Amino acid sequence: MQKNTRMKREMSMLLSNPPHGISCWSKGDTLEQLEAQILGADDTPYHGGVFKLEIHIPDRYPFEPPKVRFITPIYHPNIDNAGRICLDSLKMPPKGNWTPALNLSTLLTTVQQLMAEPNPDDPLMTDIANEFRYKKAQFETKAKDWTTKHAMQKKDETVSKSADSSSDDSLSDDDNDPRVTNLKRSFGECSETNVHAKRSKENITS
Amino acid sequence: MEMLKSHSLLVVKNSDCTEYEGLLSVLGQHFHVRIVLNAPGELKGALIESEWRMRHLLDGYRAIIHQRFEQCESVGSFLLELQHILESQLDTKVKKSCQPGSALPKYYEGLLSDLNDLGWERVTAIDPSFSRLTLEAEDEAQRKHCIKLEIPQNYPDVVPTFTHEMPCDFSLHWTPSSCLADIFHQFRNQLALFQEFWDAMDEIDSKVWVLEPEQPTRSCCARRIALGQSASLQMEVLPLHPKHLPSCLFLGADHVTDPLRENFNQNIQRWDHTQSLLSNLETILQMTFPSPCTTSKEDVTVSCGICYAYRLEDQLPDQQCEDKRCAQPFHASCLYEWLRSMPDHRQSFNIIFGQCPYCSQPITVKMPPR
Repeated sequence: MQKNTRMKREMSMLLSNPPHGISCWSKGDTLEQLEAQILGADDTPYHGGVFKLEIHIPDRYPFEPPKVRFITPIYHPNIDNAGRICLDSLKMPPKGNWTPALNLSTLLTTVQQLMAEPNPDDPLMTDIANEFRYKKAQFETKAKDWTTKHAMQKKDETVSKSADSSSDDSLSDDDNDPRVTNLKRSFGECSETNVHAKRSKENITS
Repeated sequence: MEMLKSHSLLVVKNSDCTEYEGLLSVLGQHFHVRIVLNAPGELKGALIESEWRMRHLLDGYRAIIHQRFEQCESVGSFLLELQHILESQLDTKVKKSCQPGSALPKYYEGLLSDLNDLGWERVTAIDPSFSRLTLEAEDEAQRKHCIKLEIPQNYPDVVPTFTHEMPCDFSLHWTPSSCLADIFHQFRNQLALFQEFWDAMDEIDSKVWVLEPEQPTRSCCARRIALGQSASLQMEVLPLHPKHLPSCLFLGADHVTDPLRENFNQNIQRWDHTQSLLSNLETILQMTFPSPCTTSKEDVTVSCGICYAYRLEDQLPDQQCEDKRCAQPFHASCLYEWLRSMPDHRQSFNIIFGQCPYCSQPITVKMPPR
């Protein structure tokens, strides 16, 4: 019952007073599936990109954190191919530090902050984390490339069509990506990630 | 022919003596009936036609009537049997009708003349059976008050039952010669007793933020007044002595309510019975209450930090973080639910120890009753 009263309040707060560079709305009629967009901040490799996220509000919200996932692919040490985010605020104590004092607005702001300041000490993608730490220039170029490729809003419709037809190309491109090689390495022990990766790939192409 | 003597209103319709028609009288009532026999003197398989009143009475007796046709030797004995059945049916029906629902003319006559005496302008509602009335009276300050009367069937021998919105119960002085105007008069006398009380309550309702009840009724003596953010005063006014010190409870975090409680205890001698309740409270608490004219409800009510609502199933967020810098209020059930789901919470009897979700300072909550 807390979920309903709280979500109604939160949605009206998000509508009337959204945090800077963030928008959030409900996908259907229910307040369970939400979608959000975060604008890549200036002075970050994500500048100019619009990153779409998917939010699931669990039944026990706000006693449990919402599940937040990137839909737009993003090159980031703390976000994996499936869009999952490694963020303390998104986990229950004792592992994480979710509290009902947080809400969608503060969470999305934290995600925005994480985009601007990756945390290579607690990485989800070790290769990207190492790259971020030791080859910053290379990391920034790749992150910018990904932003241009996936997060820029298309200027006209034909672009999306060409993206469809060139899906095979993008696959071969990814072979050179450290995150894909990383994925291949861990294929045996983490098949679930692979499934998600495939799904996220579908998302990219569709 | 013998039969025609006992049932003189029945006639034979044909020479074969197979068709009879006429009136059957039962307990002073006459029923139109027609009986057709298959053969003279042969009652088996005979046909009986009757008007709807009788059919209604015999509803459920069809099998018995057919049985009687089989058993009876003559039309006369059958008619006697039929008469018995109708008699018993009519009897029970009359008994039923004496119960509430359909009243007697005398009742209505008495009531109507009473209402005429009283004046119809005082009646605000009346139900179709005329047994429930709502009367309205205006008091000295033009406040409207209602009394709902339930008139018993044997009115005016028995006193009508009533419900009203007054802070104290009152009993009617009633004799069989009393009428509705008497009730109305007594009701108005009672209203006069509470003029001071309602004046005081109206002043409170209009000048300060009343958190509870949301829509106070005229009979409600309790008010919860906002003293500021997340502090409130729960008081119970004495309806017959509204200018006396009411019973007061301070709700909220200690650092807000402690100084107020101290003022209250220090200045209690300064209570002045000639002043109004509200100005007395402001004097002894040495504060002015937040007023609806200058503050909005959001300034005096802080919603629960967990569910973001102020009112959650009649609960108010009355659990507050003891840390002065935080002072975040919660509903007991919300706070309990959260603390319980924390791996590091402690429980001692029905008290849960944990940390405030906002400032991580120690916080406790009683297990809400289930």
